[in-house]
Formats: sequence, structure tokens, C-alpha cells
Amino acid sequence: MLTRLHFKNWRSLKDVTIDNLTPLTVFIGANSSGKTNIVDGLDFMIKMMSGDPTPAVRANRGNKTRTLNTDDEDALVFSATYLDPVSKKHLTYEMNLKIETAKDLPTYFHSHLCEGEKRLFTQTIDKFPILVFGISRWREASWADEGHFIEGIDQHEAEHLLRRTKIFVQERWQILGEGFLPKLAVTFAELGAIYPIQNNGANLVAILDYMRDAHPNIFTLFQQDIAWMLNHIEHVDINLIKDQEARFSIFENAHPSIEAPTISAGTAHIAAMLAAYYAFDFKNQELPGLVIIEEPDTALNPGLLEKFVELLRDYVSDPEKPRQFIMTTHNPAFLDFFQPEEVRVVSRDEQGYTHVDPIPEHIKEVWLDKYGLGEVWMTRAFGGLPE
Amino acid sequence: MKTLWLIAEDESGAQIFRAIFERRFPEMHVPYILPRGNHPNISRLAIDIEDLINNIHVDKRRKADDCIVVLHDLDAQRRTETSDYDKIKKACEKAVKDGLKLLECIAVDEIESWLLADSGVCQWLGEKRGNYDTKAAPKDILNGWLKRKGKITYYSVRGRDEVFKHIVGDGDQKEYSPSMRWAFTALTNASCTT
Repeated sequence: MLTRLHFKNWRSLKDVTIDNLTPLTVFIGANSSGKTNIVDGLDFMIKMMSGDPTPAVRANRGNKTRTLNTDDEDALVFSATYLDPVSKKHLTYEMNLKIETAKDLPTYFHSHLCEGEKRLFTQTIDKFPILVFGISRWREASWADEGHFIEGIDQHEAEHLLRRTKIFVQERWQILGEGFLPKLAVTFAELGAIYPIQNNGANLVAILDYMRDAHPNIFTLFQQDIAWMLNHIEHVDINLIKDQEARFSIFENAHPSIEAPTISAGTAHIAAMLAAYYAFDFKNQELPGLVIIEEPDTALNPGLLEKFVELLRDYVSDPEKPRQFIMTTHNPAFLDFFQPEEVRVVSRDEQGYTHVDPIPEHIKEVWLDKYGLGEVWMTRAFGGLPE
Repeated sequence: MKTLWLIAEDESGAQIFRAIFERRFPEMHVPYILPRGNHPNISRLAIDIEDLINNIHVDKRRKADDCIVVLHDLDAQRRTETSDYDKIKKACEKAVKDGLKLLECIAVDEIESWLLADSGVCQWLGEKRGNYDTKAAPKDILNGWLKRKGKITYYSVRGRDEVFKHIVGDGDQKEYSPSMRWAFTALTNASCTT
């Protein structure tokens, strides 16, 4: 499970540490406070984890990447600490990146893996290909540096730790970004990958189609959960139409043998979030999995929120399959179902820099034996609201 | 930076007080908290007052010299009973007895009378400022002035924001708002502002 994040010089996150992450963590804050920058920072880390930061840098051009008032010599720092369930060790993977902003190219990339303070592995790249009109011209071979393990450590174990860390970040973080709305009917050409879920949920049908065929037991659990969430649903399925189109279909209790003509945005949202969770079980299910969801409550009726959070709590409670959800919300009704220690308040100071703070300890003692956290949020007792 | 912790009955009251206070004490920070609910009011303030005071009392960010202000309207011209007001008064008195530097500020009859006494607001609206503490429904008077000025209503967030921009914060001069004068005399002598 991810326990700590640190960002430096990444967009509005000039120097932000987020500690003591819990299996469910919710970020609240005013619009433009920096919540999405945290989510995008995690996405940036996934992309850099391959060891080649160039595509990630080019996808976040110019000022989209670095904190204002920093220059090319200021490194961007991204660090993630997690509890490796196999070794039971807290491991930290840190990436430092310098960018030549004018050319949107990395000039320096350093990453290392630590166990506590002890460094296990390090990789440095300080020469990158020059891009001229889209053609790469290689400068020098250090591009291919694959790093090295620190002398004097158990190299065999360190290799395993590094491999699992890379799998955790690259393959076990799934993000459903702002405004995700899965397409529920796609041509075979549009199906997309079977894993992980895309940022906009576009490959939901591909994931479910694969799940149904290759992992029918997982698909059954998915079906049961979605029917539990939405009482009117008898079952869901993937329909293949004339070998050309795949379609997510629901069958309602009122007419169980007839495919419902329409599917609401809320149903599509729920399906995407549950599919992301169940997709972790396709392989390496003993490894930790993290789903990051921007505004999961969008299009969900307030009456469903308690059920939804209960389902998430159920998902993260299995010690054999460590799972975690990081979410953002603007919805006090959603926040009502969380404990203060599961919530972080995101705000910006007068310079425009983001701060991430826990909810003050006294909130629990003063309010929470009588009222929900979301209700207390609206009193302005702990920030996270526009001025 | 010194802090004045404000508890107000609603959002617009908090914003008016804060805007005036910050004109007068620009070096001070004024975080505010409100009763629960989407439309807080005096009844909700009466229900939540002890929790709101306690919330500030135990907040680790509060320093010894910081003040707490509980702000609400007197509403004498329209209220039908006084139990909510009495409850708030009692809670404030108890907090002071317990050692908190707390001041109950009561705007007469509504805090908008402080705006009708403000030179900046009145000049912008082209109206004569005066003592409206004794008049009924200063909110409605201000709304009438705004309507005369243009197509703005005080009963919208945009309308109120427009008014707040013009606040100078001088409505406590002798011939204008006595309730504001009482509040700001007390605040000028308070530990957080001296």
C-alpha cells in the first residue's frame, strides 16, 4: 500500500509531502487548489517509471510541468513510499528530473530505490536524444543506462524489490481521470487494451469482455457487485453484435430478458470503477493495487454513496489482496462516509503554491460524535472551501 | 500574523464583517466558521454555538492573544421570540467565564446597517449615509438602493460581492451606526488588535 508521496516543483506542488495514506484516501479542496495536479503527478510517475521520461515530458509541455518561478536547473522530484506486502518492507522510489523547458526535453533523470534510508538501486541519465523535426538524433549511449545496485547489499533481494516496485507503479496504478465517461458500445477496432483501464475509461468494454471470457469467476463477482449497488439491475453482460461491435448491456429486474435500451452515466461510472478494481485480479493479484479516481461520486445519486463507500471498504479489507483507492471530491455528502484521517485538505497559499494538510485532530472530538464529516466541512472548520 | 476567529450566523454576515475588519486592521487574518447546513441562520447558530466556540477553543493554531468574535443580527424588528438569542448570549458568557477572549458582536438590527453607514458603499450608490440601526430591514433598504443603481440585487452573491468591493469600513463614526461603533470600540481595545 502506498503510504507517502512527495512532489517538488511539479506544477502548483512546490514542495508537498502527503504522509500516512490510508487504504481509502480522499482529497478535498476548492477548484484549482491542486487536487488534479496530485493525480496527474501520479500519472507522470507511471510514465517515467519506464526509465524514459521523454514522452511524459513532451505530453506535459512547457508550463504544464514545472512550478512557476522555477528554472531549468530546479529538479522536479517525485517520490512514492509503499509497503511491499511480500518483503513487508517500506520502499521508496524517487525520481528527479530536469527539463529544458524551451525544447520540452529532459536533460537529467535520476531515480533510486531505498529501503528506509538505505539506498538499494540507482540510475542516472544525463544525456538524452535531441529531437530535430521529430527525428531523434542520439547524443551518447548513456541513454541506455539501466542503473546499478549499491555495493554491499543483498543484490538478489534488491533485484526482487526493484522488480516488484516497478510492477507496482507501472502496472498496478490505475487512474480514472477528471470527467471519465466510458464508452459503452465500441467497434472491435476501438476495443483497446484489456488492462489497465484508460484514464477516460474508454476501454471498459474491452476489460469486461476479457474478464467474462478469461476470468468468469471474477466477472460473476463484478456482476454481483453492480447489481447490489443498483437494485434495479438483474444482471449485466457484454454483447457482441454481428462480430463488429461489443456492447455493455444491462438487464433490469422489470424485464430481465430484454436488454435495457439506455444506460445512465452513473451506471457507466460505477461499472468503470468496479472494473478497475477487479482487473487487478487478472494477474499478480497478491501484489498491491491502487485505483485513483477523480470525483467518483459524479452522476451518483446521494442515496448510493454510502453503499459505494461500503463496497470500497470491503475491497480494501482483504489482507491477501492489498488494494487502495485515492479519490478527489467536492461533495460533502460523499465525505460524510469517511473518517478524518482518511481525508486530506488541498489548498493554495497566496503565492499560488499547493499545500496538503490532514484534518485537525480536534474536529473529531468537537463534532463527529453528532455530525458527519461532510456536514462539518461546510462550516469551514477545516478549510477546503473557496474563499 | 495576529488572528481574529469569527463565528457568524451566515456567509454574507461573515463576509461583511471580514471586509470591514480587514480595512481597519489590514495586518490581521480573519478565518471564519459558520453553523452547519447550506443555509445557516440564527436558529442553527443557536444549536451549534457551543461546538463552534469549542472548535476554535481547541484549535491548535489559535494563539493566546487571538480573539474570537461571535457575530449575529439583533433582528429586534422581526423576531417573534428570543430563545435563540438568549442561548447564544449564554454560550458567549460561559466562554468568557472560561477564560476565552470572546466578544459577542450584535449588529442592530441587521449587519447591513453597517453598510448603509459606510461612506464607500453610499458614495458608490449615490445615497446619503446615516444611522440605520433603528430602521426595520436594512437589507431591503440596501436592496432598494442597488435596484436604483442598476440591475443588481443584494439577494444574489454577485450583487453582494459588488457591494463588498466598495466598503471603506467607517460606519462606526458617531452619527452613523452605534452597533458598529460599540463593536469596533471593543475590538480596538482587544488583545488581538493591540
